[in-house]
Amino acid sequence: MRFTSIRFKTNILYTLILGIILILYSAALYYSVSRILFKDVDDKLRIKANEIAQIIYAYESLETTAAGPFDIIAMLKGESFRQERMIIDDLWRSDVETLNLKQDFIHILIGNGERQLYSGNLTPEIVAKFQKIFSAGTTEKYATFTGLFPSKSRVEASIRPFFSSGKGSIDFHSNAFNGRKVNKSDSLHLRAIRSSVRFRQTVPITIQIATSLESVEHILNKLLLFMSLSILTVLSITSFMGGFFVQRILQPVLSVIRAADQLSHRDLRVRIKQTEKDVEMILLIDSFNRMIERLEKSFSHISEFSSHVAHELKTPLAIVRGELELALEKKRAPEEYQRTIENCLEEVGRMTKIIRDLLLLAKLDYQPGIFKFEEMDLRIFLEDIDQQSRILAADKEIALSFENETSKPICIRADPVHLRRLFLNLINNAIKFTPANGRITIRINPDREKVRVAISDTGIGISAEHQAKIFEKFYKVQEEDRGPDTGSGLGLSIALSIAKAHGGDIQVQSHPQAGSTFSVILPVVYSPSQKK
Amino acid sequence: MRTVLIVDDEATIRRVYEELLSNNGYRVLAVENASHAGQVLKQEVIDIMLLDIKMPEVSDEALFDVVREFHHEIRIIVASVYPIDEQRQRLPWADDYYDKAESLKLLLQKIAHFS
Repeated sequence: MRFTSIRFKTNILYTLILGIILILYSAALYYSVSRILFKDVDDKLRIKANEIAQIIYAYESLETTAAGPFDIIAMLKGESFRQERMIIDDLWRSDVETLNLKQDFIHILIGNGERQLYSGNLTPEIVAKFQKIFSAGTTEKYATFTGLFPSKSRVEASIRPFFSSGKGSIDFHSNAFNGRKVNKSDSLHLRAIRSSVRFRQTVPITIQIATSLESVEHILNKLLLFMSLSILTVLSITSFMGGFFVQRILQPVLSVIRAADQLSHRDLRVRIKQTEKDVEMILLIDSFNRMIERLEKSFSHISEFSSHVAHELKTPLAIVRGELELALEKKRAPEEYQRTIENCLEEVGRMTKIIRDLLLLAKLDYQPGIFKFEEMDLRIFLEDIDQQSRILAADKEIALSFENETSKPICIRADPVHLRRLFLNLINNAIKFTPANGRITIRINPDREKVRVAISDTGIGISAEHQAKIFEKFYKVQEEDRGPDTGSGLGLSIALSIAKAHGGDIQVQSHPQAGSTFSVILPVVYSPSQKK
Repeated sequence: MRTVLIVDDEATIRRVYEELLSNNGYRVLAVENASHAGQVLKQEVIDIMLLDIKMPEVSDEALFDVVREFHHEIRIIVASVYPIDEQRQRLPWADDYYDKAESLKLLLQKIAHFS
């Protein structure tokens, strides 16, 4: 498969689009899930901070019944109110269980930090982090941080109920850290909350809790892995299936290519079998087959045309050769040589005319640029042609009349040189095929959009079987009494080509021995009825 | 004296062939189309016919068939401007073929062959 092939490009494009969609979708999903999970962690932290505050408040109420001066450390260590304290301790233990406080890092600052309480797992690094991220302020605040902290197992092992009673069993430290060393592998992501309360409305107590994000990260990592693998799998399957389907879809294109490769000017009979069901491919194959059909027609037309040209040129050549060979056969009088030379020149003239007409026809049909269109009044133009034709007609004693029904101008866009050739050609034909004392009429009949110029004669006419063919190249009506053939057989083809180049047409109506009418139809720019 | 009938619509060609063959001792009749040729065949005894063909026309073929059917003795030489293989393809049963762009000597040889 080439990199520039449609198959490759389509495959890559669709895989890319699908990949982008999947990645965007997965990113959105990942973001939502992580938002929910983090919110859950934060909610739990807030509850934990609240519960710890509640416990402290409980001690506060305990203190009100006490007689001695307030010392929360002493109080918490159980040096007074032992009975009441035990109830609160139980409450605390149950909180530790239900809130899963064992794995959390808890730091309580009493007063302005002169007394501090720690959970057993707290390390100086975490305290430093707390200090760094929670600079000041009394409001609730969350933060996430990373650092080298005790591993989970060691944390669990070192934590016992926070405010537990009993000698030496209290697991928080009032002044110093236990200073345990931690490994690099113990790196954890922690989420922390800081919450401030006031003990007896005077002593500020700051509660700082950090909890591991390990479980959240575990879920998110699993999700990320799952999504990545899913995307890769989906993309691989899509790419494979896509390639397969694109290849199937493009199969007809390959058969078109094979058929096109088989084509040559020698054999244009190749056609592609229509076995496809896809509309586009049916259209492609139909279009290809039609193109070959047109080519085949065009080639056979060219071959027929060349044969015509060869024949038309070979006839005068055969005459020239015959005349010259005959003249050389024996000694002749100078007049005979002169006659031979004259005959040869006549044939040379005929060949020249054929070639000139062929070249003109090729230009008319294939070089639209040779026409120099300008707006002109057809009435004045035809009057001029009428004058010119009268001289030719008079030689054969044919009466030529010009009938113009309107006195207003008929404006057309035309090339005067070529249009003159068209009309003179038709009028010359009329003169040629009309016997002496006949009549030729040129009649203008303007319409709203078109003008019809009819050239009618009282000549020998054309039978119906020939009428359809007279505009074909080299077609000559082979009938008796038509007189000697002096034309190239291209005159009417040229006239029709000129009419078509003007957006018009030529129609013929004729009956043998009753005369012919050739009507030239041309579009008008504005007609007398439109111009008031 | 052998009689040659020329069927050709080109007046100049008829005149040239007429003169050539007369000079070489033939009796020559020339007509411009198939229907005239038909009339001549009814009245004259013809030995050799020089028949011009126009490719799309059928009247030449019809004349050829008439001659083959009713005048077995007449030798037909197809003479046209088409290449000889095309002429042979068109009228396969002619006695000989002549491309009019060839020399007149060749034509004389072909006619002499049947004399």
